[in-house]
Amino acid sequence: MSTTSTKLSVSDLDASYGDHQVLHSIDMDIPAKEVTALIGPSGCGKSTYLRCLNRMHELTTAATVNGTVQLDGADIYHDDIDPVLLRRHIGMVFQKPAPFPTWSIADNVLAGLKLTGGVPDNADEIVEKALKGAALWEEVKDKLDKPGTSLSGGQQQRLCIARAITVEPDVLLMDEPCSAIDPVATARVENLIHELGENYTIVVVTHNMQQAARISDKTAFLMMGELVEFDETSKLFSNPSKQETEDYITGKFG
Amino acid sequence: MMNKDQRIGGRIAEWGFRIVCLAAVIIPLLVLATLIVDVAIDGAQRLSWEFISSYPSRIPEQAGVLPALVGSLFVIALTGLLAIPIGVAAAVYLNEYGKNSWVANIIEINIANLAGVPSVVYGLLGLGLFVRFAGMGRSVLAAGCTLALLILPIVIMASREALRSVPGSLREASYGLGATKWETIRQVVLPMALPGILTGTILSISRAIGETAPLIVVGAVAYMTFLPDGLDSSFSVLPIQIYDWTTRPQPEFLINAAAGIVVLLSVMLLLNAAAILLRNKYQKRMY
Amino acid sequence: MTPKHTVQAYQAELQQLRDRLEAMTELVYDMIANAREALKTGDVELAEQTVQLDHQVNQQEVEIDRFCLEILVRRQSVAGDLRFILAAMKMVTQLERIGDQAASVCHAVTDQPPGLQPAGADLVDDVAQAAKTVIDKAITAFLQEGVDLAFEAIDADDDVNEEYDRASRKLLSQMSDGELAMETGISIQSIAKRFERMADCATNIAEAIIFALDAQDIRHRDKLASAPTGNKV
Repeated sequence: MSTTSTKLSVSDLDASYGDHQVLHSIDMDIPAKEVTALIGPSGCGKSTYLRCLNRMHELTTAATVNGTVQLDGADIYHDDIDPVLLRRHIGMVFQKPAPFPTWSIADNVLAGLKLTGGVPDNADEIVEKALKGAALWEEVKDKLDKPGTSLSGGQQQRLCIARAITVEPDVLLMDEPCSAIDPVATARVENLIHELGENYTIVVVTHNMQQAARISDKTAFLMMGELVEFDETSKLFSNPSKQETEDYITGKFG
Repeated sequence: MMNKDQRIGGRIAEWGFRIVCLAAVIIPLLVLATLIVDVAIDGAQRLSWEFISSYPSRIPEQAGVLPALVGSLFVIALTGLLAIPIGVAAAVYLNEYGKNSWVANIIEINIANLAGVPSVVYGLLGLGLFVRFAGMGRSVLAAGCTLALLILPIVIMASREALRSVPGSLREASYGLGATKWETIRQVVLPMALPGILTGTILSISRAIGETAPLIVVGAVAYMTFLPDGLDSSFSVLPIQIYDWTTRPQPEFLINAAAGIVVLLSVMLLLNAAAILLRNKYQKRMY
Repeated sequence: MTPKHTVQAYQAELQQLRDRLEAMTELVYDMIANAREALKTGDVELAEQTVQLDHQVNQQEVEIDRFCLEILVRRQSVAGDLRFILAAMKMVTQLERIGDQAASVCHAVTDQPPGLQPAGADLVDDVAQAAKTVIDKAITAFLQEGVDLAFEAIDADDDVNEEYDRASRKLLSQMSDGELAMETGISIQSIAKRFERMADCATNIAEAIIFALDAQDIRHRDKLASAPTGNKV
C-alpha cells in the first residue's frame, strides 16, 4: 500500500490575493494514480490551493504564489515553464459543468485539441475513447453533433471530464465537480472518479465530507489557509490526529 | 387571518399597478402607430417603383429618392465596415486585456460620455477632421467616417457588455485545457458574445441611418442628379432628402417627404430584420 | 471540553445515547449485586425479581441498538462520534450477556440445590468479588471516560481467572473427598463460571471504551502480534 510514488510535491506554498494571504506554507506530497480529496470550510483556501497546482491562480488579478510545486520532480513555477503548456499536463474540471455552448458534443470532447491548434485525423476515435473513458459514450453516441449544452447537468459534467482527459493529462484537478448536479448524476461522476483514479492522479476539492470519504484514497483537511491534517481517508475519518479535524468532520463548528 | 376580504386593498393596488404598466406599453405604441399610419396615408399616392427609381426634380410629381436611397445604403455600409471591427476590437481590449487597469477605466467612462454627445457635434468634428484636415472633401467616405465615429461608443459599450456576459467559467474551462488567451477569445469568447454584439450593432446602425444633423454639417447635398460612384463622390441620404422636401413651398413636396419617410422606415426595418435573423441564427446554436 | 455539535439535535441524540447506556449499565449492575446477594442468602424472592429485570435489559438492548442505527442513518457519523456509536453497540451486547449470566445465577438459586448455602456460596464469592472489580472498573471507565481505568479492568480479568481456577480445584477436591454432592458441586461450578463470564464481558466493554476514546483496537492483540503472516491492513 505504501509503494505509491509522489506525483505532485508541494513545499512551503504561499498564495495571496493582493494583501490577503490565503495559503500559508503548505507542504504536501500528492501520490500518483490515487484520488486525493481536499476538504475544509468555505474560504479555507482549498480551491485556491487546487488552482495553484496548474497555475490557474495567477490568472486572477493581483494573485501571487510563493514556494514550489514539483510535477514529477520538476518545479512548475520555474521560469522556463510555460503555464499554458503545463495546463495540458494538469487538466481541470470545474464546479459548474461548462461545455462550450456553441460547440457540438464531439467538438466539446475535442475542445482541448481544437483550441490549441489542430484536430488529428483520428478525431472520431479520440472522441469515442474519451467518451467511453468518461462513461458517457452509450448515452450520447447517437447525438454527437448536438450541442454540448443539450445534455443534462450530470452528463455535461461527464462531458467536461471527457474533454479534460482528451488532452491526456497526467493529473486531473476537480473543483467541487458534483456540487451543481443531482444525486444520481453525482453517483455516476463519483464512480467515474474512482475508475479514473486507476490511471490518473486526481485531486478533488469537495465541501461534501461524505463524498471525500467515498471517493478518495487520501484526504487533506485545510483550515484558514493551513494544512491541518493529511492522511489516509479511512484513518482521517475514523480517527483524525488533530482536534480541529475531529471538530470539523463531526460537525462541531464552534 | 387568511380571509380574502382582508386582502382586498392589496388586490386593488395590484390591479392598479397592472393597469399603469399596461398603459405605459399601449400609449407610446398608439402614438407611434398614429404617426406611421398618418405618414403612410399621406405618402401612399406617391409610393411607387417610379418614386424609388427616379432622380430628384423640380416637379414634385417626377421627383424620386434613388440617389438618396443609394447614398444612405452606401454610407451605412461604410459606417458598419468601419465602426464594427474597430468597436469590437476596442471592446475586446477593454474587457479582456485592459481589465481593471486605470487607463481602461478612464477610457470606459469617456466612451460612456461620448455616447451622450449631441450628433451635430460629431458632424462638426467630421467636418474639421475628415472633410478639411484629412482632405476627404464632402464625400461618402467623410460621411461614413463621421457616422462611424458617432456610433462607435454604442458599438463598444454593447460589445463590451456582450463580452462581459460570457461566463468566466467558460474562459477558465478553456484555460484549463491549455488554451492561450488569444485562442480562448477567438474560439470561445467571441462566438458566444456574437449575438449580443449583433444586437448592439443593430441598434447603432438604426440610429446612424436616421441621422440628419451631422451629415448636413459634413455636407450632404439634397439635389443629386447622379448616383454616388466612389468613396470620394458627393452624396445625399434619405433624411436629408426628406428634410429638403419639407422645406419647399409646394404642398406636393410634403407628400414626397411622407413617401420618403416610408421608404426610410422600410429600409430601417429591412436592415433590422436581417440583423435579427442573423442574430437568431447564432443564438440558436446555444441552448 | 470539546466544542458541541453545530447541529443541536445531533448533540442531543448523542447525549441521549449516553444517558440510555448509563441507565442500562445501572440496571445490569443491580442485577449482579442482587444475584450475589440472593446466592449468599438463598433469597428466592430476590432471585425471581432479578430474573424479571433481565427482560428490561433485553428490551433496552434492542432499543439502544435501534437508536444507534437511527443516528448512523441520519447523521452519517464519523471520527469520535462514529467510534462512540460503534462502541455503544458493542457495549449493549455485552451488557445484555452480563444480564443473562446474572439471571442464570438467580435461576440456580431458585432451584435451591442442597448445600448451596453457605458452603457453595462462600466458594463462589471470591470469583464474584474479583469479577465485580473488573465490572466496576469497566463501568467507571465508561462513566468517567477514562482510558486508564479501562486498561485496569482488562488487567484485573487475570485475577478473576485465577480465582475461578482456585475455586474449581477446591470444588473438585471436595467432590472427590465426598464432602460435596456431585450434583451440588456441578451446580456451584457452573455458577462460578457465570461470574467468570461476566468479567469477560466487562473486559470486552473495556476494550470498546478504549476504541471509542482512543481509537486503539486492542482486542486479541497478543495473538495477532504473534501470528505467522503479519499482514497489516
